Amino acid sequence: MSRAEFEEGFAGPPTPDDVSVTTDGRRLDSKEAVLAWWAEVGPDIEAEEAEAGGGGRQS
Amino acid sequence: MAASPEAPDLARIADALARHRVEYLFVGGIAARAHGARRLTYDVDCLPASSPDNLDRLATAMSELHARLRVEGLSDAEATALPVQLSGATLARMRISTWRTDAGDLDTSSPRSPIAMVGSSPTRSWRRGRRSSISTGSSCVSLRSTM
Repeated sequence: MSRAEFEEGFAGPPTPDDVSVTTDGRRLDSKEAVLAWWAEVGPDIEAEEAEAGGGGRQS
Repeated sequence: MAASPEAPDLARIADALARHRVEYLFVGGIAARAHGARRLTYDVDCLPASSPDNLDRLATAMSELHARLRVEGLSDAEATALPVQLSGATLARMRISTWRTDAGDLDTSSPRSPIAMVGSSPTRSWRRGRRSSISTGSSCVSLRSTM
């Protein structure tokens, strides 16, 4: 691979598709998508964190 | 998305990750720059080791940098107000996660994601603790281990 190809392929700015994707394939590309996902997984995660005695909210 | 991104403070991010003993690889544009690429990059792409302990350490380091989800259309204040709890368990449920931190944009990928798993084992690179590379289909992604 040439240096030009390398730079073209991997050193560009973020694309409009720069978005979080969950392990089940959901795209967190809006506030609504984030809230819907968290409504499903949040209770489990918070329970896990409480059991482990750690964790913290995003600040 | 919040205000337009600026070049990340890689040293600050790397310092936070190191102090919390996070096992990770930098990939993408930052890795390309480490190999001499001249184009700008606007975020740091991090591939962490997938153990729960390591993801917990990563979440702690990211919290220290005030990481908040980066979501299209949301201001920084709106993103900060989201109920999402940044923890190892949260990161484990995300194949790709995009965050804004006080040191710039930071994205994480799961080592189990298709992109990360093509080519040789990243784990081997972490253990070797030196610069290495993995192939991804027809291209090559440069990696730099910090371990």
